[in-house]
Amino acid sequence: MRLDGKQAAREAVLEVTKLAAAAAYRSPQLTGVLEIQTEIITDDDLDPLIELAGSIAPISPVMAFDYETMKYFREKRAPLVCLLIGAKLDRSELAWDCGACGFESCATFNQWAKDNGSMGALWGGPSCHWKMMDWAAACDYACAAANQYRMDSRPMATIGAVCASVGYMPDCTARTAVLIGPPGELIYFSRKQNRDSSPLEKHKQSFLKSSPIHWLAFPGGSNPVVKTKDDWWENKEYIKLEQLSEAEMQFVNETMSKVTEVALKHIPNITSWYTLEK
Amino acid sequence: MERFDLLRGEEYVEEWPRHSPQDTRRREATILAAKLCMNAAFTAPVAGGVSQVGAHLVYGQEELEKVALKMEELAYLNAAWKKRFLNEAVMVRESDVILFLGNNRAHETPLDADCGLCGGSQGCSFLYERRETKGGLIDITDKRSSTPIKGPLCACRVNDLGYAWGSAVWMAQSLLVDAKPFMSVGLAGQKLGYCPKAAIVIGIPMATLAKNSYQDINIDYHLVNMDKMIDSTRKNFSVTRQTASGINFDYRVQFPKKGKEE
Repeated sequence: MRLDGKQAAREAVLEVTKLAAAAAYRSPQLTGVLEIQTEIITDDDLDPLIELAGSIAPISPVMAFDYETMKYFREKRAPLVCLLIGAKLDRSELAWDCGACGFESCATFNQWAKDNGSMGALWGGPSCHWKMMDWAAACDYACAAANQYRMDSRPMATIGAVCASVGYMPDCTARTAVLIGPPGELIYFSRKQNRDSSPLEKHKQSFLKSSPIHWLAFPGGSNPVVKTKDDWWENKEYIKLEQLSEAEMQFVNETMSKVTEVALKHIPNITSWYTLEK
Repeated sequence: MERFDLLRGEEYVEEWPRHSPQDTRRREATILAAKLCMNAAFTAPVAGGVSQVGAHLVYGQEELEKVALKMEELAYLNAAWKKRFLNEAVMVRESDVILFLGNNRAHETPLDADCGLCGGSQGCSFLYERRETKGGLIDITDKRSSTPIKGPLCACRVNDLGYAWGSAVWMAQSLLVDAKPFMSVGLAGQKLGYCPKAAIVIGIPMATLAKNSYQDINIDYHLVNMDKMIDSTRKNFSVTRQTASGINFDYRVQFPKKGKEE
């Protein structure tokens, strides 16, 4: 028998993901009561996730980063598998009354969760911190298991949120997508596949906006010049604090409308899986 | 003398008696493993790759006893804790080392990403509105709290702590070292001042004994455990050797009579 090594490596991604899911269930727990949910999403089923991530990307650089990566692998038909790990964290039967969540007791936490529990940008809340760490450890074990096979992985809150938006794991309040594969060297670091979408000027601007202090000229005058270019002393530029303009706000709102549109398109199909299951 | 000539020696190792030289040599290796677990925790995935974990290694008979006593003290503060804390205090006494891992940012420097894990759609306002703040900076100097942990904490940071201790325990498992993460041990450690900068602490006792110290825990373990059994043997044998036959023998000249059939 002869096997094509590259093809074998491609097929191994799914096998490793299954073992990663098994590892997630084997993870140790502080509480001993958390039930995690896992699902494996591959091939065509990745497309709705990529589409939704792409619709948020224009207003979220972090989402754009992960979207570009997924899109690149998918377009190349490289084997990419998403292990989705979710949990319901907004109820606590522990009665530990530890206060970490900000409530005096687990009972008040549960009541507040019942009355006010909702979805945030990435996850739902509130969350019992102990159950939450058990869920995190499950995600960690999945990544560690993949690493045992030298298959790179990345736990992504972004894609977990995308999964939530299109209807995955409706009973959970939090979901993290652990992307596994394709085989290659450190594919989720130094993402060369994102180079086209992140030109040098964008990179520079991002650094300037995130860490302006590094490029500040003499600050004694209390309104320091920012060294935005080589000849920064010409046509000086300064930091100006202001809210988003109306046009920018409109762009955000329009983008979010598109996101909702994409989500609504996919929700019926994805949630029907759970209906069938029940 | 060649420098490699210094690398000579022999070490006898056995897990019994506890804290004997041969047992101490074994413990030394567990501590080494715990250090590797600690570093594994530092390399765990965290949001944005931001350093936020503090670690504290604690070992030695007196040090472990101090943690166990604190756990027993805490056990009576909450009925829901009692059984767990008392059982787990026994496990601490049986351990070689405790790795404490804490999150140094969860109370003071949150992720600030509006992620929703702590308060859903309220985003980071959930935390900031419940904390002493000024200009978006959180003041943690007031340590007073009506709860064991002063919350709310940044849930995303605490989530990262879950990854950290997950990696530590994974490493322990890979090294075939028995280890288990505990809230009770972490809380006791925090109250004793370990991981001094942390908002929340997890304790991972580790041991390399024939029997896994953290599994197959019997009912009322705080009353029925190896230490108590051994102490009972010591207590009872002293009496039994004097009274079993109802008479004390002079071992040099006296022996109990054999039965008639013999």
